[in-house]
Amino acid sequence: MKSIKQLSLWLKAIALLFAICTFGSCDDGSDCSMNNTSYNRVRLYSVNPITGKESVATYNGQLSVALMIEGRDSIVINRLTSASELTIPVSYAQQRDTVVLIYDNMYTDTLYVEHTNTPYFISLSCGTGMFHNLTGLQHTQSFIDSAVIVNHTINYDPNENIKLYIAQ
Amino acid sequence: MAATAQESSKGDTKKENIFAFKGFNVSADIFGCAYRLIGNSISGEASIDANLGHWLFPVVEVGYGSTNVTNSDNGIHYTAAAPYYRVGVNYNFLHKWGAKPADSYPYLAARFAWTNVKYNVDAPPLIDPIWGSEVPLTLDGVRGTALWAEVGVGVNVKIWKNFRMGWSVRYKLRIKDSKANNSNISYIPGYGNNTGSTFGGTYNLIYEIPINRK
Repeated sequence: MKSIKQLSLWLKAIALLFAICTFGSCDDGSDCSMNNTSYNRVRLYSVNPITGKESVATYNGQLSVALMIEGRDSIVINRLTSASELTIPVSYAQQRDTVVLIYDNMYTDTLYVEHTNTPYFISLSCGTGMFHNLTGLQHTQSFIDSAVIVNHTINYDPNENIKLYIAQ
Repeated sequence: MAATAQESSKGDTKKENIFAFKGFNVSADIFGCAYRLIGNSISGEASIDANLGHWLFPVVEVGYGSTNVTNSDNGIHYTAAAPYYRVGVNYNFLHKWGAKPADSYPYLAARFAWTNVKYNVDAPPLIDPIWGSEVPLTLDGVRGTALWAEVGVGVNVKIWKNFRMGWSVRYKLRIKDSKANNSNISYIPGYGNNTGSTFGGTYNLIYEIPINRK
């Protein structure tokens, strides 16, 4: 009888242990990002001239994005339609990127994005990545009315980094 | 007023302090050494606990853990080493008040643990997928702190005279780990790989130092 009672207590203790694990969100370290590249996330906005209220804007034509690499442009986003958000790569070694927005293959705006670069060790299993901190932003004004950095940190989080206010 | 329990052996009603000090147990964990056989980590650990009324055992554990590993998939070489510390209690949940102390007993274990680890990372250069540039990543002597809690079950068994042995299995839950400017801790001595939770175990050789056997 005594041994049965002891066995029962043992089983309860083991069950408790597994219950804690089950509800304690055990993980196996497999929460690595699927894409080891961090992007500068840019969203288009417009401001209602009457109410002054801002809202997410959509460019209804075709919008392409090119990066200037060693004096030549390299298309990274090609003829995106109904664009309201752009994910733009950031250079690992440079501290100033030149980003060209091409509207309907006819007009352009240029963004000059200044940033720092931090090579980052994530974990032994997830590897390494490059994170950035935005430090400055200039732009031309064909379609862009103004631009503002809303989140300086560029990492794997899908946060918006830059608001681009386009002219009405 | 001290907490008391009825002493029921031989029918008397003598009251005893349920926290009466009965002695010490000193032990060494040899399970950590076995990790070397199945992985790239190794640890050694010693502990001392106080026997209070044969049911409650406040315990302090001090260990040293290290790892030296290369991930063959991504080529990252990681080394870390540090002492770690745990404080907590073991609770003999089958203790009978007034009965003779058992030669062997099971217990529930609870611990709070921490370490201040120093680690090194030697990674292949990061290659920019657009611009094509390479950026090296080598970190030397980065320091980080980790805190975690452990709960588990174990047994403590008398072998011969004052010599005992025991084992325990523990569920470990990370409470906090510090992040450096450009890295995370990947291996936490005394805890294992830096995941939100994990399991661990101990296998202890124990020497009992009795002060009061009643």
